[in-house]
Amino acid sequence: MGKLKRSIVVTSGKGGVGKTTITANVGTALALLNYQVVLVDADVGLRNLDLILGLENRIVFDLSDVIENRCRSYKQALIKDKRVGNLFLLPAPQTKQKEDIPLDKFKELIEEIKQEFDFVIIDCPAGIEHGFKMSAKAAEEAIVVTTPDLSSIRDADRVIANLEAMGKNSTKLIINRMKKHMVKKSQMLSIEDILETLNIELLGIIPDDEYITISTNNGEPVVLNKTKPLYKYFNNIANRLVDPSIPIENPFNEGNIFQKFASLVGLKKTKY
Amino acid sequence: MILKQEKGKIIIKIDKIEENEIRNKLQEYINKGLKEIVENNQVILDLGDLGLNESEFKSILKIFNSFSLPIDIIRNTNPITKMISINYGIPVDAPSVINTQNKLIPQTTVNNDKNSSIGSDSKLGNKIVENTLNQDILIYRRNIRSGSLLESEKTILVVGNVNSGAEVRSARNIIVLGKLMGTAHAGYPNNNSSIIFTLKLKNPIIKIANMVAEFDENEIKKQLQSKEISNILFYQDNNSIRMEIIKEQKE
Repeated sequence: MGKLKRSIVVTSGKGGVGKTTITANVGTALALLNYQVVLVDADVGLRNLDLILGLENRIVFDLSDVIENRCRSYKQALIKDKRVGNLFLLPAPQTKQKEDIPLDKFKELIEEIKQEFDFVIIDCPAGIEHGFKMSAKAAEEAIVVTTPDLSSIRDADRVIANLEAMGKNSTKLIINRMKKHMVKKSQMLSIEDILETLNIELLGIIPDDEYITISTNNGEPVVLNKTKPLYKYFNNIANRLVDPSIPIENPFNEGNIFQKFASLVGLKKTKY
Repeated sequence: MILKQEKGKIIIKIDKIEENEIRNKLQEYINKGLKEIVENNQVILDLGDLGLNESEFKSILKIFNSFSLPIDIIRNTNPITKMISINYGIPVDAPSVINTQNKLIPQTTVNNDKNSSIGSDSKLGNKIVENTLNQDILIYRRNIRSGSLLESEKTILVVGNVNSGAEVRSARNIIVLGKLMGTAHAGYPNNNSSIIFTLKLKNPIIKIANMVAEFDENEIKKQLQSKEISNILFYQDNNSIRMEIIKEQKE
C-alpha cells in the first residue's frame, strides 16, 4: 500500500493550550490505526514531547544532529515507541536556540521523512516567530489548537491569518479543554462563538479531563488506555484526519444549533 | 531581489521591502539590458508571502514605473496584498496556475483616465491599470483576522467580520457588512467628515480623524432597551463622535 505522505503542523500561537499533548495523543491514535507516524518536536530549547510520550531516556541524536549531519540519516535519530510499533519521535535539541535551525534545511528534512511515512506531525513552539515559521512552512497542512478563552482565540486568529498569508487555506481547528458544566450555564464561550470568530473547519473537540495530567506525568498517552473517556475524542480526531466525512465526537450533544454552525463553516452534513 | 528567466517570462522575486535596494538592483539589471528582454516577455513580480499594505505596494509600483518597467502579474499568497493588487488592476495568480494554464490569466485593459487615484501622483506604465469598477472603493470579501491591518486611501467595504485585534484604516469611510470587533479608523489622518457603518459590533474601537470614541455597549443596550444593537453609523459632529442606529424605513 502506498504511503499517505502527509505533513501536518500543530500550532496555536498561545502557549499552554495543549499542542504537545494533542500531538502526542493524535499521533499515537493514528499509529494505533496502523499508520506509520513520525512526531517531530520543533520546540527547540524547550522540548517536551519526549516526556509526554515517555521516551525521554532514549534520546541519542536529535533534530540538530540530523540537520548538522552528525548522524548518518534522520532514521538514526528516530526513536521507536515500544508500546506502539509504528510510532516514531524525532526529538528537539535541548541545548540549542530556535534560530539555530535554518528554515530551508528543516523543510527539506520534513519532505525527506514524509516520503517514507503516512503522517509527519510537527509539534510547533508557541509564538509566531522563527520556530512557528519554520514549522508552518515545512508542513503542507495545519491544525490550530485553541481553548475557549478569549486570549487563546485571538492568538489562534492571528496564527490562522499568518497561515493564510503563507497560502495555507485548509487549516483545521481543535477546541481543547471544553468544560461541560460551564458551557451549559453559558459561563464559557460556546463552540458556535469560537467558530464564528475563527471561521475555519472544525476537526474535533476535546473536553476537560483531569486524567490528562496523570497521563502526561506518567509519560503514557491517554489513547493507550481505551477505558478512559478521552480515548474516543482523540481517536475521533485521528479518524477524521483520514476521512473528514466521519462525524465529530461531540461531548455536548448540542443537536441542531451545532449542525447549523457546522454548515456555516463548510462542513458536510453529518449527524452529531 | 532575484531575477529569473523562464519560457516567455521574466520573474522578479522580492523578499524584502527595501526601496533603495530594489531601486539599485533594478538599475543594475537595466544596465545589463533588462529592458530589451522585457519587451517580448511577460513580467511577473513574485512577492512570496510578503504582506504589503497599500502605501508599500504603491511605492513598489512607483519604483517600477520610474524605470518604465511594466508588471503583468503579481504572485503573492497574502490575502490583503492580493486584494490591493487586484484593486490596482494587476492580476494575481498562484504560481501553479501560471505554470500550467497560461490562458487563465486575465487580460488588462488600458486606462488613460487622469483621475484614477494612483494616476495623479505617478505616471504608471500603460500596462498597470486601475480597475475602474473599484476606483473609489476598496472591497475586501472575507474576515479580517487578528493582527492584520487593512489600510487604504479609498473607502473600505468589508464584506465579513473585523475580528478582535484586527485594524481597518481608511482616509475616507469604512463600511462593515458583518461584525466589527476590532479597530476601525476612518478619515485617517484628519478628514473629520468620514463615517463608519457596521451591521453589528462587539467591543470595537472607533476612531474618526483625530478622535477616539469610548463605547459602552451595555449602557447603549440599556438606553435602547434591546438585547442587540445593529445597523450602526458613527460620524463626527461638534468635536465629538456621534452614534446613530439606522432604522428600517417603512414606506
